[in-house]
Amino acid sequence: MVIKRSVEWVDERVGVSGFTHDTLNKVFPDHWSFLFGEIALYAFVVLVATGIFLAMFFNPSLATKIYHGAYAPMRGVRVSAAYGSALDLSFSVRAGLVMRQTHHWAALVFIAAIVVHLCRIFFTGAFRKPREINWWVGLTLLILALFNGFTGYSLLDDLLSGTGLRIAYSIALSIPFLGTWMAFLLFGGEFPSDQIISRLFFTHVFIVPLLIIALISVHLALIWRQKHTQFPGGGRTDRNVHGIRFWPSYATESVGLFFGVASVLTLLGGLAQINPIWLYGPFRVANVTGPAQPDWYLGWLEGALRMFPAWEVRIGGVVIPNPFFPAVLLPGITFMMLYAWPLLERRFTGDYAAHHLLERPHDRPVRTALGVAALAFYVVLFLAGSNDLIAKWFGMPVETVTWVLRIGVIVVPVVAGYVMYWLMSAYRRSGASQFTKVPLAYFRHPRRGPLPRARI
Amino acid sequence: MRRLAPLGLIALVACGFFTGHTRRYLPPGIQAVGRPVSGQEWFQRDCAFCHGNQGQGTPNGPALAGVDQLPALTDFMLRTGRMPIADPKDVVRRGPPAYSSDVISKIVAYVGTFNEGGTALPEPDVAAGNLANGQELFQANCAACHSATGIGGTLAEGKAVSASENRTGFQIPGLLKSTPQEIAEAMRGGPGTMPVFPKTTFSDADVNSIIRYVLYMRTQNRGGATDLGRVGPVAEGAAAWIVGLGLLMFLARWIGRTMHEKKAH
Amino acid sequence: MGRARKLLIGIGTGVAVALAMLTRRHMPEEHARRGSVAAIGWAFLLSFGASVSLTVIYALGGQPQAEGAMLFVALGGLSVGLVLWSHLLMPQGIYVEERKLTFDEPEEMEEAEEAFVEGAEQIGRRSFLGKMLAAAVGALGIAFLFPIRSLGKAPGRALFQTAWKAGARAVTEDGLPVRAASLLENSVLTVFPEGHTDAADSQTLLIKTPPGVFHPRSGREDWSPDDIVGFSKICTHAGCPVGLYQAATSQLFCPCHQSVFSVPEGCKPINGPATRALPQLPLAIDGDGFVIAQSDFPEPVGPEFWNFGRH
Repeated sequence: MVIKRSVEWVDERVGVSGFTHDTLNKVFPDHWSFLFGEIALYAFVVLVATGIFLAMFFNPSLATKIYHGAYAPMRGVRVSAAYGSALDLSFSVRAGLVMRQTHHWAALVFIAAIVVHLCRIFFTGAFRKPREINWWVGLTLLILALFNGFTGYSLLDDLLSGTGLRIAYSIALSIPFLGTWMAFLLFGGEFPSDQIISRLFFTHVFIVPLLIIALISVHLALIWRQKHTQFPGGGRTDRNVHGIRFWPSYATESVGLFFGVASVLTLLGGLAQINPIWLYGPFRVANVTGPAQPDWYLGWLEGALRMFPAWEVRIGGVVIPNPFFPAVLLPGITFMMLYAWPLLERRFTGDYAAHHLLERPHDRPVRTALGVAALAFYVVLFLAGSNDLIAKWFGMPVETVTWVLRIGVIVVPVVAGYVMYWLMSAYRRSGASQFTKVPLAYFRHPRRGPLPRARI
Repeated sequence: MRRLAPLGLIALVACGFFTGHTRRYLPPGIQAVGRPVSGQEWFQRDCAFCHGNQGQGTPNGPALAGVDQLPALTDFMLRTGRMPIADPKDVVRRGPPAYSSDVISKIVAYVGTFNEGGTALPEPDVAAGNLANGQELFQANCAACHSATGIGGTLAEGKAVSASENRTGFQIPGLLKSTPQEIAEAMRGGPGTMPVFPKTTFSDADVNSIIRYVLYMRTQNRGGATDLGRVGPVAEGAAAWIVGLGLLMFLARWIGRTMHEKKAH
Repeated sequence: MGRARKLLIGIGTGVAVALAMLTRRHMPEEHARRGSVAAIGWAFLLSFGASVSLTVIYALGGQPQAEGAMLFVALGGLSVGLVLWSHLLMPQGIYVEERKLTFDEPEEMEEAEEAFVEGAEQIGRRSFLGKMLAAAVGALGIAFLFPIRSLGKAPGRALFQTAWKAGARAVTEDGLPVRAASLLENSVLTVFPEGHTDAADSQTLLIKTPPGVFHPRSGREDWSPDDIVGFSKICTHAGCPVGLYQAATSQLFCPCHQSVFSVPEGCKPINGPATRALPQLPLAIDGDGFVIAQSDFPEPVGPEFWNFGRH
């Protein structure tokens, strides 16, 4: 009764019943692989919720003070207000440590879910017309997520993240002609400046989250408008949507997923230690700890920095320093390729038509092979980011590991791409419904025989 | 089968690469006659072949005479089982000690006679250490190699001048099992590739503080039921993918449909 | 109060309250989908109990692991219950909805285009005003760039010099001067110029090399008194402190990106991504036996930048 009356109250004034009716009856395709975007969204909700709590206690200042809190080895030690308040948040604020750890785990899972979501979109061709805009919005969200992960990780002014900031400063410094100015403007002067933490804090809790929220809105609005893609088969076509209704089935399921995401993240946040800043100690300019890695989502950049040979370019009096190539050029090319992919693929396949039906990876062996080769490339870079740990675990000199990975970063993508092309071609020719049902003969001669008719 | 042959070869080579030499070295012309009793007898039986019968050193091993860091370093090498090694080419690694504590003391005392006025055995007094001071000293001087979390790290090969300089297995040992005595001896003695931290720059009080911090630090797992091996972001990333996204994938798989089913229920 | 005790009291209360609730509200029996309803009910009940436990644990002073576990059960119970509810008791379709291939409606597009062109023509007719507007907006845009300039100091010469100068004593992080005699063979110490222990770009490693190991470059023979050498501690690759000294091979190793510098050869990089030797600080020993600098580093320290060659 109350609900009915309030709905009427709003409708009389705003006139929403038509839209609401459409919304409630909207049909959503319901494949499990479509849920990774939702997982990312809900991880972001957890990030905002825990982040608000953390911001109540964190003091983004580099003013130094003597620590007198609960952690014994730091008592009497000179620390920055930022580091001190992060220690208090961990040990003195009730539920503070769970919140801090959940926030950090949520960030790791957030970006992991985005990457899986991106792969799903790529390998099923969901970026094709009319969804190029959403591909670009999604990529921008990934960049913002990476950036906000790094700014958040760097806020605490502990030894490990301080080392990361110093590397970021050196990377900015390596840009030809602009580098010195860029580094000085971003950091407020020569490293370490006294302004960087407050700037990072504002960026981390306000500017970037606002952009993320705005772009998520656009992302979802476009999905709403264009309606979700679906896999072929069972009467599904480019001109219909098969699925379950938004209200109540899909909405209930989705809220269930939200609580699932939150429960897994709090489980990790309570039971698995993450970023123990009390062990890393406060940042001191001359201290360093090894092994030193960034969070996983920057592992590929770290690996590129470690693996890139000792090359630099000198033209006249101008130097292009070594870090520029692995840490500026490589990510630049990576994201340029990703942004351009829908246009490039259109160009090469000549397929300018609109699509709402997805492709299976084996429908497009070349795309799948290229995608797997690219993934393999980044996985090898990612491994190189842990070359010291690999060396430690295998008892080898770190140079040997680096050389193996330098060769691997060229060989592995080629092999992985070729193997994928071979498997997908055979799968496609066989017309089998599942990969495990492909007759072996097709693998021996993956390109013999006619293509089966597409099943739509 | 023929296709597998190269794989087998690689596996064989890899095994050889990882295991190295393990045979027990028997110095020619030296015969153990009964059980040694004095430190000198033990030394002549097990150490002299490489280090020389007067500790003067041989092509197989470094000199012990005239080395400032003895006998503290000798005690460290024997108590952590790093010495003796069966073969001069062996990697020097931590292990169970080869002798009883009593025998070690005898050998150490004997080796001490090679170098009067060398570094005596330190006597750390952990309770006298200052935790905060230890924390700062540890971060500044130890964390770069042994890691702030105490797990140890890796070494570069660089330009190894001779085999004896590269017997570390390219590993920096962790500190999670070290005893106070070992830590003090390592600082004063500079075993293997570790620099020396002498009394002139690090007082006994500093050593006590560092040890106190190491003992405290390695019990600190305040963040959870697991500390993920104290490895840091690499282990955290693995957990985020395998446990975090792994569990969520199962959840997604349960909530959503697959391509072939209408609905599992 | 210990972790186990808090957990026990918390879970005990949660279970008790949940059971009490259960005895008052029986799971419905007359329902056609009894099994489904019971399963969902149990999931929500579990969540309810865990939330009660969570509150109690929090009130007892909190404990991260217990909080995490209870949050997991409370949120997870809601998740399982809601998904089961949707799957078992709500309409699952399949429903089919029509959709358009693309949104282009020829008439609508034409109308919109016409309206736009018409407006644009009205503006275009006044080309003088248009140009003036563009100039004004452009000038405003450039004026707005200047606040960006306020973000930081000009680089100037800051990257080319450090706080070291002729006669500056080397001191530890605590500000204590370093006696040359206190450094034993194969010991290593991080030092700063006196009065500048917070100058990040001035951090320097003092290493006492074994006699005969260090080979000074020509012209630098008097830079390493008593076999004590001083090198910038900032990696020339990406700026990390090169904190790892391998005494047996006299090599410095950067824990960030694994560059290796050979101390005997003037800290020349021999492995890893670094391209430039660590700059050497010319050292001397003053009358009181303390280590001092003869001058600043002969070249910029730390990671390279585009014009670093112009020192």
